[in-house]
Amino acid sequence: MVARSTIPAGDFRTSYAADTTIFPTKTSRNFAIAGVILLCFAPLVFSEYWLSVSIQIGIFAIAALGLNILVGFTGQISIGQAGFFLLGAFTSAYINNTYAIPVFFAIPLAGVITALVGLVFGLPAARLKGLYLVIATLAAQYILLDFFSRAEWFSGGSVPASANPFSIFGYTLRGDRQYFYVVLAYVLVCYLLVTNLMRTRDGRALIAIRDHYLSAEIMGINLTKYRTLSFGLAAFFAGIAGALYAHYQLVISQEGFGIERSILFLAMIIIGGTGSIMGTLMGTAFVVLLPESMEWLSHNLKGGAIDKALALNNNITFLREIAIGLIIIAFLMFEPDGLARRWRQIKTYWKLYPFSH
Amino acid sequence: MTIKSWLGSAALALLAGTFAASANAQQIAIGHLQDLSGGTSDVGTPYGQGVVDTFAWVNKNGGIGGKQLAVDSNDYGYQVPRAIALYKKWSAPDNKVAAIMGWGTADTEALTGFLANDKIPDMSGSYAAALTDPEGSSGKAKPAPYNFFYGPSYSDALRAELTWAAEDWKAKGKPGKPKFVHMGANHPYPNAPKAAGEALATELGFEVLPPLVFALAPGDYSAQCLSLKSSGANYAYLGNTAASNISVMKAEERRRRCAVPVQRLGHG
Repeated sequence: MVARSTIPAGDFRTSYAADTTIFPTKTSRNFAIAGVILLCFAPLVFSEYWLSVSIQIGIFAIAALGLNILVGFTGQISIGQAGFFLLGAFTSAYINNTYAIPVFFAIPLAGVITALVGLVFGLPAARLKGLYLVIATLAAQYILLDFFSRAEWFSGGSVPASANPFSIFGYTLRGDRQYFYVVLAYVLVCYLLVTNLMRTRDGRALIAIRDHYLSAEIMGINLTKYRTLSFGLAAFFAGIAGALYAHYQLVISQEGFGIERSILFLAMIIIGGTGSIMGTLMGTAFVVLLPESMEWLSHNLKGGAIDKALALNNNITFLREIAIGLIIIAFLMFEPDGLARRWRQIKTYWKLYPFSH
Repeated sequence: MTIKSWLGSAALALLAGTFAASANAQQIAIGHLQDLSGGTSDVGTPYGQGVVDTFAWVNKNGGIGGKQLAVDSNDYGYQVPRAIALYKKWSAPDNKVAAIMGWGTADTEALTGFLANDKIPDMSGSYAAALTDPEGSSGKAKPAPYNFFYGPSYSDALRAELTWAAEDWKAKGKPGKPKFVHMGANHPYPNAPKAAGEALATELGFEVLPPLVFALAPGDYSAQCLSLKSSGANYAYLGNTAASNISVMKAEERRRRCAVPVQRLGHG
């Protein structure tokens, strides 16, 4: 869907390995490494508020990445991602509380268990297309949510469950400043894993299914297997993100993770650009920062001239919800290929400056 | 420039402009959680306005010890994750608030551990009994040494209502066991007094029927209304807030066959 950036003149590859590198040029690789090193210094500089926002962006970026595998790379659609996110959160807390598995191992284990549940939901969904698939994933969302609100042995029922903080070798990490590194490590690993997946045989099979499933099937790609695998992968990353969230918040509640959160995940990848991995991160950052800026805006507008002119008073809180919806619609209208494409265009503009058109 | 680039730069400017409010050293910072848009917003909105007005009055009349109060009011939409995010902002080590005016049962119960760790007192709009155990010695609730509220807890209020109901049944001279049913959403706030109420009801000689569930938001609850009638309950405890309780009672008004001769006991 989103084309690769223009390769500069004189840059030619002489082996398959050189052709499938993750970073197209040495400069982009060095920039990426420098960026990660800079981020390592972030907890020393950021305020608590910005740290918590960054951690949220990191956690949701992993879940959005899973959804992007399913939606952007395999061409399916799912509005059940928030259910799997919560499943990962509750599972990690449950296996840590009940079986005393350290949090360090509980998080990947929760991801695996969520992937297995995702495979169970993915099997019937793999045969469906279009609207029917949407309804099947909607069913997954509601089944999971209902299970959480009733299964007191697992999630505590309607009372929020509590999770233990992250600890490595007996040292407990307290506070956002330390948890930031955990999330950063997981984001790096997950993003590298998925970028690598897309250049392997299985990743190319997923893209083939997205582009023209009939041709893919004729070529010998097993549609059911790859579609189910895609569901499993999406659930795996959602589970990991959920587990990270559980050990960050230390309290897991289902509120805010209903169908509206699933749609927010979809919005993250649409705004960032479906089928683009860097776009997932950008889209997640946009969607997480959007309510914060709306909150800031409404906070500043309160009591001001516009508030009095429109007589908003307490309804200013709804302005936030309206604005978020409007911005998502504006993105769909003016920037359907997402932020990733816009970023590539900006880069191309400066590459060709002053000869751009 | 074109509309697209104008929209783009406006969006970027908005995003770049986010920042968190900081408190003045000469002011006492108070965190305030209110529900203006969530499941209990029908009672949360006037309560929140009351809190804001009270602190404004205190400020106008000299503040506390000469210092003004800086109240940071936030709508958290009755969602626990948003409450926790706000709490993190208020409990930042260099910028801690002096106290928090809390609201909902679910988020206050979730915050009890954090409040005890950070030693920030919380006066909640939730009167759940789970907040009344300072050391957790009852074994039924987490320790909540920094949670306060004024008035009877939900469980105590329900116990009082049940005591009245038992006497009312006897005074009316009706035979046999009265039937009690708990109605409310499957949510910590309506569920708070359920166990206590059903225990006391059994002790007082009530027949406790299986609870009926209806959501916190107002809606069409004719189904619950019919279940209530068919269960033959005599006393029903409506656990939700005003708007959704009124929806249930309006459902009875609308559907004549659903008119139930049940005495309703209220909550919060």
